[in-house]
Amino acid sequence: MDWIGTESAKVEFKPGGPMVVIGERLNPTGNKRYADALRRHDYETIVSQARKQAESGADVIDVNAGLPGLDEVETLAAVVKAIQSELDVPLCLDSSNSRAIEKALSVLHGRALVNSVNGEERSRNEILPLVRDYDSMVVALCLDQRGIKYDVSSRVEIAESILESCAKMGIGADRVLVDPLVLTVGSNPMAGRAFLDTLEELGRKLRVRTVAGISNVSFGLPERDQLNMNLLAMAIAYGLTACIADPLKAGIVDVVRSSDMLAGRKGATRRFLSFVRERRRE
Amino acid sequence: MAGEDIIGAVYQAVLDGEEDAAGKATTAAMEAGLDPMRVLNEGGAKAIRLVGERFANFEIYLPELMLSADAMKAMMNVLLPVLKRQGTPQSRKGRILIGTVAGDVHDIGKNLVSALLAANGFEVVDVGVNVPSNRFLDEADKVQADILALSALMSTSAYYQEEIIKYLVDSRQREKYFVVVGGGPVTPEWARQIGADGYGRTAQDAVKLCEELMRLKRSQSKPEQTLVFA
Repeated sequence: MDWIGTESAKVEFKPGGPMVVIGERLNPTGNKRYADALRRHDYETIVSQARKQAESGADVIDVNAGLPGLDEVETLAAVVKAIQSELDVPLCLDSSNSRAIEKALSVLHGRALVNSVNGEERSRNEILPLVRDYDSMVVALCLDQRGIKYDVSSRVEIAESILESCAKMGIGADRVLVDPLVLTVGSNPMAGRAFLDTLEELGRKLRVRTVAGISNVSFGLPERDQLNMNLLAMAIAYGLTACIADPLKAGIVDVVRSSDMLAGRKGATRRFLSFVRERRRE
Repeated sequence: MAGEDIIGAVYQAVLDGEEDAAGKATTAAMEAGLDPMRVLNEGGAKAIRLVGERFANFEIYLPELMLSADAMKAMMNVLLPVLKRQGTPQSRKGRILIGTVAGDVHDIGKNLVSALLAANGFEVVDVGVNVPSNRFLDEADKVQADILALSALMSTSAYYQEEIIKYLVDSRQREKYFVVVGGGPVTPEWARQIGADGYGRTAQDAVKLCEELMRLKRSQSKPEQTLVFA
């Protein structure tokens, strides 16, 4: 059951298949126009930002409606409704507030990706029952009450423990995307290495599906786009299943389409060629 | 070496992010009998202010900023025991309890603010990241903090800044501490809305904000509205 969306607009998360791009722009942190639109209930602007991402190559749209001072429970559900009334695109519900996730799931058509659960007891107890009841997929962050660990084995341990909790609830491993955590190389020179090693361990040993927000890696550094794109290409070689990224940034989707092909991922050649043809027509 | 030169060496070591050199130069300064507050102010603190400005202007980048912060920590490790022994009125500058609120494990910005406050002579108690609201309050009570500094880097965790202030109000303890907030998604409007005493955009702003609050406290006064340093 490694797909989300609806029968007519389905996105699959297949190990070895093409990388899934989750568009990250609908997040008030770092997108002022979206934040303003949320405050003014300007759904036209919100839907148009979602559409633009889908047209630029996002397979899934991440929706975050957490803005200090706004009622996240009502806002997230309203944004989900607005987007689904105009677009047939799978959604990723981005919140740590289980009530906001629940409300959004209750109004959403099709299957969603819940972003996210982590290793903390409270998070598992609140989020996983919703994933089970609404037949969703879920992002599992490799961190817990002890905070962030840099060593591969601690991160893999947390992933295994969350997968175990999922299994107990009848949520199969094929419904979980593990996020190995990308931290900035700016504050720890081993952050990129730790991410790639964790990715390899998760894919090769545990055979789980993975997801990562790439752009964190370059925080506080110059030439951020270059760094992000290079890490993205490496992550594709290391088998990353899905990425959370900005499809409107020049070059991001190019890297995904070309690296997918170079890494020999299934169906990638055809996808790369039609991507290139499409762009030449424009 | 003359006093000026030793302090210059501390300044340079922090500026260049040379941890070992900063520790050695500070030790040399103490052996030469220099005033630790002078070493702090004219050496490390002056250097780290410049480092902060360069970072804000994109002249240097995060790895370099982190190295300077480490060098400053090395300096503080030498200075703190001396300051304590002398009973220098370090704690009178103010005691600040700082941490990242529940549900949020971001620590870079919080660590920078923490380091810069310490470099400017505040006594800083850093309680780490993902700190539940009740732990903030327990610790604040335990260390008798003057100021609670609450960091949130996610729009969804900023809510806990509000929760902590609400709790202080409900339990009639709001007057006990100044509460200041900061972090990526935090805005001056949000700070006002939740009734925080202050908002600082950058680490330097946070220092200015805390200095102003302590000045008010010493004159037994308090801000009439949320102070904004941005």
